[in-house]
Amino acid sequence: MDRDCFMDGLEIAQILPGPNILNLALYCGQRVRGVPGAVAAFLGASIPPFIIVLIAGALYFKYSANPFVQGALRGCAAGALGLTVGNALELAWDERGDWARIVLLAVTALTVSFLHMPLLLVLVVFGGIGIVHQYVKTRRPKQ
Amino acid sequence: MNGVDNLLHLLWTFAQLSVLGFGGGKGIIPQMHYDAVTRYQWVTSQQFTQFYTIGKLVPGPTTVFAALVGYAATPGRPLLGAAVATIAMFVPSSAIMVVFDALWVRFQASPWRVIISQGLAPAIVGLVWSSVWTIARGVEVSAVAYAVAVVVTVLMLRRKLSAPVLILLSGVVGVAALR
Repeated sequence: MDRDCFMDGLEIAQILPGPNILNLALYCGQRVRGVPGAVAAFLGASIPPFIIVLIAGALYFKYSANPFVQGALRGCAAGALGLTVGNALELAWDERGDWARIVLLAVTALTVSFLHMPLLLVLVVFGGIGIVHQYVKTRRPKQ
Repeated sequence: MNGVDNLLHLLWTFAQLSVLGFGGGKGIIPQMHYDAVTRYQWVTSQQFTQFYTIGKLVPGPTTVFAALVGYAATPGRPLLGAAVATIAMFVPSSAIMVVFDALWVRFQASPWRVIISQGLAPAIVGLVWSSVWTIARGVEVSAVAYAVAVVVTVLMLRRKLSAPVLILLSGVVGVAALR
């Protein structure tokens, strides 16, 4: 597999549903060994995290009543919130320079948070508006 | 609730999230919270946030924390619930990826490739902002917790430390100050 092929894979992995890292593993597996390669990549990329998360989960259910563990979990949760905020800020920063996209982003966030709009509807309506906007923008002749 | 029914609910819920997980699954957190906490009451808001945190802490995709929701949802057979939730979370999107790879050659040169990925981005980022609210609902309401979150945000944006290290350090602060 050459560099261009890998970058293509990364791009599809990011566009399609599913975790980027798993999709990229599937893509590489499939390019190298076809569908059996993809199956092997799927197992290799999903079973180890599954087992690790299960061990973490078993410990969680066993010890989460302990006050020290409670404290640690509360601290970790606050840290994960901070990471999510950082991620959201970075992604929003990439949208700067186009007010229509920023408004769309904000309306999506508010509608989902406070009106609990179902995900499918969000993707159809706000994703659809975004795609139409992008289409018009691409079509418009450069001034 | 009947055990088999519960497993089918898990399967169907996570399979839908899998198929709708555009943008690396970043946007599915609010819907997953709605299904797991409000609709089926498999977990509490606090547990949901803590499972998400464990998902961020372990290597691999964050959404593997679906296993923990499945684990909590099926008290009689937690391993079965965990396996069902994880398979439902990962198999449908993987099948799409494998099938789509064959079509990719035709799609590669099409302008729609960029239009779709760029056009979906604002909605996905909006969903990520909504995830902030979702995750915040399970965080302790305290000055220390919010201070930890702010410091972690700053350190993450400055790329000082990796995500798991930041979470573990937050845990240390938690043991000291959030007991």
